[in-house]
Amino acid sequence: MEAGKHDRWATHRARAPWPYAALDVPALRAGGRLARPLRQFVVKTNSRCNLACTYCYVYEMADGTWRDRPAVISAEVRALTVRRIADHARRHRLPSVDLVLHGGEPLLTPAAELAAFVEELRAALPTGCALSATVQTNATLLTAERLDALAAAGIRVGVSLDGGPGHNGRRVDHAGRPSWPAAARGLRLLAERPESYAGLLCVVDLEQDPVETYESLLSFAPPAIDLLLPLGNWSSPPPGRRPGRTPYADWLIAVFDHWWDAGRRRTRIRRFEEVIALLFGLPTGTEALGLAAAVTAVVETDGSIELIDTLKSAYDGAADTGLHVARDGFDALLDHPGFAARQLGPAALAPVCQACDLVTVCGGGHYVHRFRDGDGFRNPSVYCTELDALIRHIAGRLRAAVPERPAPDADPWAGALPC
Amino acid sequence: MKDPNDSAVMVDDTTATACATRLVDLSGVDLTALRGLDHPVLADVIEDLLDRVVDPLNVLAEFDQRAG
Repeated sequence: MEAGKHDRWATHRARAPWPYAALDVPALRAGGRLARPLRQFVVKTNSRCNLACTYCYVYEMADGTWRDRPAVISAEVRALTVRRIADHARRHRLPSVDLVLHGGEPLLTPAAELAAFVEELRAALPTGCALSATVQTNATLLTAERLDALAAAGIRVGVSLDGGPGHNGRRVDHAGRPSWPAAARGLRLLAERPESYAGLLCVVDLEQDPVETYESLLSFAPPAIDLLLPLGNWSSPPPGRRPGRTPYADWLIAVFDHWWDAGRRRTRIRRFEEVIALLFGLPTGTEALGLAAAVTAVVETDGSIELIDTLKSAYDGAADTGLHVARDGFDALLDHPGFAARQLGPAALAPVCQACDLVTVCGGGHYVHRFRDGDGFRNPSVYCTELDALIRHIAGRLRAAVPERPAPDADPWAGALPC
Repeated sequence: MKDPNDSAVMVDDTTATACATRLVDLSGVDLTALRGLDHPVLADVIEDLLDRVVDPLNVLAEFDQRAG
């Protein structure tokens, strides 16, 4: 076994025995547990960024692999990626594929090149396989011309932003200057193009007032917002977490109640709407909740095929698979233990999670939040008590809004008390 | 129950005490019967969720570092 490959597997087994030492994927397959094909491909068009946000999982957490990667994806790697995605779509007769252009900052690449990449993929996909494409950007490089080029290729634009000028203090450039003025300019242009506007991603900051943060995001007329929990785990806990308290749940509940009681839906808030969907027994649209199989692969600028890159918050090389678009199709990822673990549903969870009343909604929380160094990913979420509080609060508000039904044999209201 | 940081890996005492009852089960609720509900936010959410009832296999657990 070549030295690099040996080191990679040794690292995985030492840092994350579950799944790397404990999960027998060949036995799973032999026992009839089939993989679900990929449906979403995150392609890192740029490994560098014009900002230096203080909490960025790419540059400021455990992983340092970005240093050794090309700054920009090459034409050769783009072409190989297009071929591999098209092959996967053909092999699995996929009805649709979702492409996310990501980074770093993808708009460091000219918009015309991003558009050409998307058009190449659209042309390569089998007939009947639809393509949806998004670019996730910090908005500081958005111009009218770039937005027009992206729109012409059917690429929607999502923006990472933590709020208005008073709430965006951690999003700075490499000189420590606030990114706010440039981001606000870009967002004003984007808000004039609602057909292109995918929405906003905001990372919860406990030092900011939740309702003020939410209202500041609404000032940019987003069709959708997601409120992300900061990346963290048992070995590197998120800021402000204290045993016996639920500051993140309290923050999110304040926003939820403000949103819920507004008299009209002013925007979609993904986290809350996914909890509601799961409470109604519907499938989830996010990897952060529920028990559905992961369906996302990442391609880095050098052509490496990786696990979800938020794993970079766990340990150096945590997202590394050893696979590459020049040598491997995406089917090889499906049997990688780090990926197969995320398609196991409740079998991937700690026993205490499997026995929990919330498991079909919480799903054990986001996979990366379950990590403990030397143990792996089969733990409750580091946000367990927060998720518990948030989900029960939403369930209580939902129950109050849904009319009670005549009692059949199984009365869903029986025994359910407010929490 | 102990903090999950302990080797026993269990959840927080306050949560276990306050929420010993089971979560309300809404999985059997007919969403189409809730259309036009007198709660504007929930009514809008339900309109979006009806697509998941019609086509559940195309609802995917997507990457969360992407808006929309």
